[in-house]
Amino acid sequence: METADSIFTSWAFQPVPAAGLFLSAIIYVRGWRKLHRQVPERFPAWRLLSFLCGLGIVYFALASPLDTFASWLLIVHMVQHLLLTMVAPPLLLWGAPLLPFLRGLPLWFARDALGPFLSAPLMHRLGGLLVHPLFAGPLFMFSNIFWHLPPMYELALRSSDWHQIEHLCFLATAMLFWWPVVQPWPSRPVWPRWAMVPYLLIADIQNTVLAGFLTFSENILYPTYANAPRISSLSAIDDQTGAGAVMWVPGSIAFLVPAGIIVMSYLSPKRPRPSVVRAPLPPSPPRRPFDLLRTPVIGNILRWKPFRPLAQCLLFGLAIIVMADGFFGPQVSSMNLAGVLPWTHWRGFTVIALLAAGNLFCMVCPFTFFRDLGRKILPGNRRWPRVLRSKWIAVALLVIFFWAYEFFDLWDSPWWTAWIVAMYFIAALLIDGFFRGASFCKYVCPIGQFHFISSLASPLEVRVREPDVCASCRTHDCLRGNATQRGCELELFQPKKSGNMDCTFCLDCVNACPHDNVGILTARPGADIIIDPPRRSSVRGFSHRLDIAVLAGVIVAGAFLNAAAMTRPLIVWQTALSGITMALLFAAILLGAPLALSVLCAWIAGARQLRETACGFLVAFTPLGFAMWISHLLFHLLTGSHTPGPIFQRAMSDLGLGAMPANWTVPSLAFPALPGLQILLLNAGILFSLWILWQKSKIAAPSRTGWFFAPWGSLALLLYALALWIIFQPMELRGLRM
Amino acid sequence: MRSLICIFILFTASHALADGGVVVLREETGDMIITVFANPTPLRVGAVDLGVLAQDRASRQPLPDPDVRISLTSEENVVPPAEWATICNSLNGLGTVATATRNHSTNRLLNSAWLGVPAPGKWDLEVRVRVDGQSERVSQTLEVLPAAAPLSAWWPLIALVPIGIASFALRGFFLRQRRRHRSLV
Repeated sequence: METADSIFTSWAFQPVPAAGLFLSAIIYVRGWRKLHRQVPERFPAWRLLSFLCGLGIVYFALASPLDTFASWLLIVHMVQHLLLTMVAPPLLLWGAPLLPFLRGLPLWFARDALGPFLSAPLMHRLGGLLVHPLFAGPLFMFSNIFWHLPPMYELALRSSDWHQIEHLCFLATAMLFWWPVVQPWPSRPVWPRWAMVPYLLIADIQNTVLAGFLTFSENILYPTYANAPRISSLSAIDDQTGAGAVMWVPGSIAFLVPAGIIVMSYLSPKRPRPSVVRAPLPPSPPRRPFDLLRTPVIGNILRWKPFRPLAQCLLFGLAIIVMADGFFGPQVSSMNLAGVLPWTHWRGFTVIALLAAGNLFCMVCPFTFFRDLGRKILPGNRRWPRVLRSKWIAVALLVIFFWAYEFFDLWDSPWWTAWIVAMYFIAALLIDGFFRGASFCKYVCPIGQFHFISSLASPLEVRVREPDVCASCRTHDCLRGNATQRGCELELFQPKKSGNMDCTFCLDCVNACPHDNVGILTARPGADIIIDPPRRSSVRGFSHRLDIAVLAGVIVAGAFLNAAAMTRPLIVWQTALSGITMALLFAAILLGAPLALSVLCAWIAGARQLRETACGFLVAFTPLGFAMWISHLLFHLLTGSHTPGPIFQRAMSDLGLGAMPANWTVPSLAFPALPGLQILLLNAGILFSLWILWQKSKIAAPSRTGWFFAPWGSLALLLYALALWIIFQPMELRGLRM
Repeated sequence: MRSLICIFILFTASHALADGGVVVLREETGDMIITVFANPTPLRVGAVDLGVLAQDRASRQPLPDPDVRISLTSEENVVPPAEWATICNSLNGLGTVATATRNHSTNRLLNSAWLGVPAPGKWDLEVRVRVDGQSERVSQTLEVLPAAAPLSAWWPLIALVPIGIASFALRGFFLRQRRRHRSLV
């Protein structure tokens, strides 16, 4: 019984197929729902059921004990292949997935990204060829025979990569094979229906010959199964015979049943089709972008006014604990909350939030919570000096921080970390306690600037829902506030706001708007950087803001420098440098290099306005820089995922509150394929940056876009190569107890 | 053409990881049959997944709750070079000795563990299995190859960038073609 339990619980969580199938299901269901409303007779519920069952069977074949024991028992492996070739593909095709997929994808993606491919005659011809019975049938049979040849089968059993390719071939060729049989709507048959009978019978003959060979062979064809452990009385040769029988009988049924149905349909008397009187299609509901504030649970939580102060209070409490441990706890970073939580976990979670939604850290910032408390006694009535209304202070602070982080090993000093947190609280209190608005956030806070720049690549933004509503608004509460709610402290006027620059996601505008016309909506990727509206509220165009361009350059270069500084080659190099040399070098790399390279690119491209072009294009590197940040910080977050556990135990024990001694042997969420995830993130970053650069080049030089784009594209690809080199280096694990 | 979309989406779905590995050692000793699986094979510097199946020799039934300890000892006693060891492998704290558990592996009949092999060369694999006071030990010398260079290990993912760029260029070509066709019409 225990053995059976072990077998039936041998499920694998396969993240890639799980994510792929889940995404397919979501897209299909989205599209099916729309089509079911419009043409219910074409998309009844059974189509949805069929498609979802097909997806479920694919996952069952790839992640269930069938996959786990496929290399021990050939019978099991054969069942797995039958599911992938005979059961799942027809079910998927019965779901008529063409239109649901197209309707389920975001409109801009279906129209702009896929549209040109869908309408291209060449692709039409290619698609037609792939599903033509004369091509799809032989391809399916060839794939079936080829992968059952002993060398190929053994290759797949010995190499997981080849095993994946084998499954891919089976599923893909089976999809093409079943296409003309099922003929999913609205595709049109190229052969008459009766021709599918010989088509299926020929496939069955091939299947029978192969199955017969397996069944009657007196030798073990695949040596892996001869060496595999036997957990039952079934010998290897019996296993092979059984596998042949599985291929023969259920395999033949899968071909013969549809052939029989087609024959029966020809033999049955034809019934006249009832004429369907078509009612006019109901109009499609207006397309609205996703609005996080209108989602059932998260939206309600975010709109609940006490949510923000409560979350801030929670983080404030955590910051106090971190500071206390940093000042009074052991000065070993891996044993101190100040050595782990701010540098590993907080940074990791904030970049994940930026990637998944937007600037959520500023939303729950503990420093502004403390500032708001201080404002109850401090005047806060002065205007921030005009000369300081730029990002230059933040740029200087960021450069100093990046240098100090490496030179003083801030990550390794809980005491210094605690001081930095404390100084942050004091700075926020003093600046915003004496000056109006959120001057600290807008002009000083380096963390805030990091989030503002990084959130240019985020998927969500705070934006007006209906511009027409704002056109008739005369009170402008989102900016000025009203009796019950303050307006935007960063002076962003919602109707003219564009993108996430300077937005702290505080939701003051949401609460102040009397028309409930501000939401957290999906942003069109990169549009803010590409269009770069010159009248962007309180920010203006990026191409006219040298300070913002330099800030973006510092953050992009900082991503590479911060990650590279943890690699072995650079650690060796750093130790040979003095403090001043290193400071100058850091300043040159962070401040000088990005802008200089951007100006050089603008000059090579032949831009007329060097400065404006260099500034505007430099911001386009933000997605690549953010990808470097997230792939680096995610690595630290996963490798150090469980480290706070024993540190909290130690802290409790120090306070005499815990009886359990700290167990410093903690697991890690890191996995050997982590570099693969990092590469995927970098891929997304480089492709996003290249796309933005291309679009900007099209606007800047419509007649010679390629030449204009070339220098920037080359620079972006060089940075990508540098990023790959960095992540392949052995990296110093900071804040971990090894 | 629309058929390509479905097939493309399903392609991503069919990418699954194989489980288990290849048998590197099988021995009947005492009342047990001990089979050791390794993944990847051939073994390379870095993280190695080793799984152990302990069976009763007479009934061939997997033994319930065996205590399995796996160790790798370098025959050459070399200092590991860190170059080309991937980040996780070199710094994830994987040791050359581990207690293999059933919770670790997908295949619940196996007791398995990740071990970190720091250097290429000949390594002695030793597996000790203890069940109900009875203890058995099997060993084998394994050849460990240097870690694959990162580019050769991760090229399929890196290739997505040129594929993406090529797709974008193709899209532009089709758009131009469509415009030209419309202007002719």
